[in-house]
Amino acid sequence: MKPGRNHLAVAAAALAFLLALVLPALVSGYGIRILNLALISAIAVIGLNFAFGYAGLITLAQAGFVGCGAYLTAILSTAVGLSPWLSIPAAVVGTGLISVVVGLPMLRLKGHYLALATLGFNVSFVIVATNWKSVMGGTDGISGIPSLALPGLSVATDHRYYYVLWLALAAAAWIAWRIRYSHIGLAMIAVRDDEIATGAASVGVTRIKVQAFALSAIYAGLAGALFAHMTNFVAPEDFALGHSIIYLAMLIIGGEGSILGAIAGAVIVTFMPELMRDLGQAYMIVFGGLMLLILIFLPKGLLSLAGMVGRRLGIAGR
Amino acid sequence: MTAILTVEALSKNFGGVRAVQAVSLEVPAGMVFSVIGPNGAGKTTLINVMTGILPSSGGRVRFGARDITDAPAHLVAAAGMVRTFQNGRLFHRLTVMENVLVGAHHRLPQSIWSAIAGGTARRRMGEIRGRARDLLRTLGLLDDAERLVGALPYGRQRMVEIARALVSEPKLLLLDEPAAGLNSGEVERLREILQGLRSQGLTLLLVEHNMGLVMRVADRIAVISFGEKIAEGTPAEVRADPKVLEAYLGHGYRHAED
Ligand SMILES: Nc1ncnc2c1ncn2[C@@H]1O[C@H](COP(=O)(O)OP(=O)(O)OP(=O)(O)O)[C@@H](O)[C@H]1O
Ligand SMILES: [Mg+2]
Repeated sequence: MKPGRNHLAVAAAALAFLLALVLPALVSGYGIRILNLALISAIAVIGLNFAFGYAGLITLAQAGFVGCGAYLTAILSTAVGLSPWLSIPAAVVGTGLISVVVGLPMLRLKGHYLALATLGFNVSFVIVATNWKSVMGGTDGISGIPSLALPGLSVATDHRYYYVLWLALAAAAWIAWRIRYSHIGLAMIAVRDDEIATGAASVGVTRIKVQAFALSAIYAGLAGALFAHMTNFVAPEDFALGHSIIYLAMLIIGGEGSILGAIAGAVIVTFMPELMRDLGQAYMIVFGGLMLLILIFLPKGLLSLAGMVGRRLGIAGR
Repeated sequence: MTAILTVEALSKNFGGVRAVQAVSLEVPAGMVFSVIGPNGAGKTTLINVMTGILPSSGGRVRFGARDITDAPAHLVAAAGMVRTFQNGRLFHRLTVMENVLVGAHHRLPQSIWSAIAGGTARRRMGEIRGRARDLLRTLGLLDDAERLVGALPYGRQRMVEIARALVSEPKLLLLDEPAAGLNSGEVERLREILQGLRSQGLTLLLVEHNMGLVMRVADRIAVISFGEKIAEGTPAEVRADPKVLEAYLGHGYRHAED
């Protein structure tokens, strides 16, 4: 979507955001927790879109980086005793630094090899978290993580925390949009389309890949930190490899290469098990089948369906 | 006459295939220097090694006073030596304008922060966009600026590649068969563009099979056959050289007749 064009699409997005503002009033206790998880996932998936959607880096480390953010803020706000307002940014920066350190050697690899290396990182993260009892709490995890509080106002309830997450998601999406239309975003997309031509066009390909990977991790770190201060508890299994695959599924179902697609995919995939709760174990089969159908018939994700409907109705779009 | 590009005994082997064998060239500044030769002679490989796409197997490359032998491709481009590709390599998820803007990446601050909040980046991007617009106008692509590049016919896509190369204001432009796949009207237009660039002081290294085009725009021609330079001189000298005729008669005479 281009700036200045598609006024109707922008209006629709604005309407959706307004609707999102009044949503907590319409949703009961358990529903708002799911909604909050959807918003947190959306931040992680917007991040993943930099690496996978734009730069074409097949990474299976996203849950590991969400875990880095969650554990860093957990440790800093419990053992170290920092305020969450400091521990969250510190966790985000820390996750970004970790991603650069592991990314520099890994990003020399391509395609399947990169996927395997990032998978290895995610598995290693869980092993370290499970076994490093003194700092990361082992299988018991870390509990007693403080909730966010404003002066004179606690945001400990899920209904209030929803607005914190909503603001964080809006900021994350806006920044992602800025980057997409900057020279850095263009270079990321170019790298995936043709790496050799990108280098010949004066773009330092390695640098751009590291930047895309680090942005993914920074968004993941923010998502993880916000998660930790909602649940007040972190444990290794929340950041296992399976979650990395689900983040990837969210991005592909929503529409890779698109910020709105990332958000839509996160919300849809988070709510799908709830909507299909009656199916019990059969849910995974239905989910897998749906995923397959989307990959075959809508390779650009569900958002492209919205685009097609929009064009039918005469709403612009190219 | 000072040389802008000096190649000394440059070689490239692919396993047992000696694609480029000790080729030496001096490209004088401000000229159109053409490299010709039969199919598979090693012309594209020569450009790939000179521009950092492939590592060399021996020899040196100097651009102005700088030794750029085996320098990474993006640094070669940033130094002012930019190339196009034989088969056209564009970014298909980007618009024509966005494709061109990528060519000016090294002119912008490189941090992520500059992309989010940088005033310098914004200002410079505005200038580059203006220059890109001028280029697209000159190349007859302005109406296509906001279209996805893949939606353009082949001849126009090739012009987008030239625009992407020119947006960073290079000193030397290397073109690998820019006329391939163009119709005669488009070749004529290309000739005007190349001569226009030359008159603006840009140095061109032109690899091309279209002899009509080469003979009209080249100031100097080097001939490569089986990886070796077999002749060099003015168009008239090269045309009269029996070694050149023999190389072409042996391997693809039709090109000499184009
Ligand atoms: N990546 C590669 N691996 C192995 N051999 C290669 C490679 N690239 C080129 N070659 C070989 O090197 C030789 C020179 O090829 P090159 O493409 O440079 O020729 P060219 O002069 O550009 O030909 P054309 O006029 O057809 O474009 C050929 O024998 C080719 O098969
Ligand atoms: Mg060639």
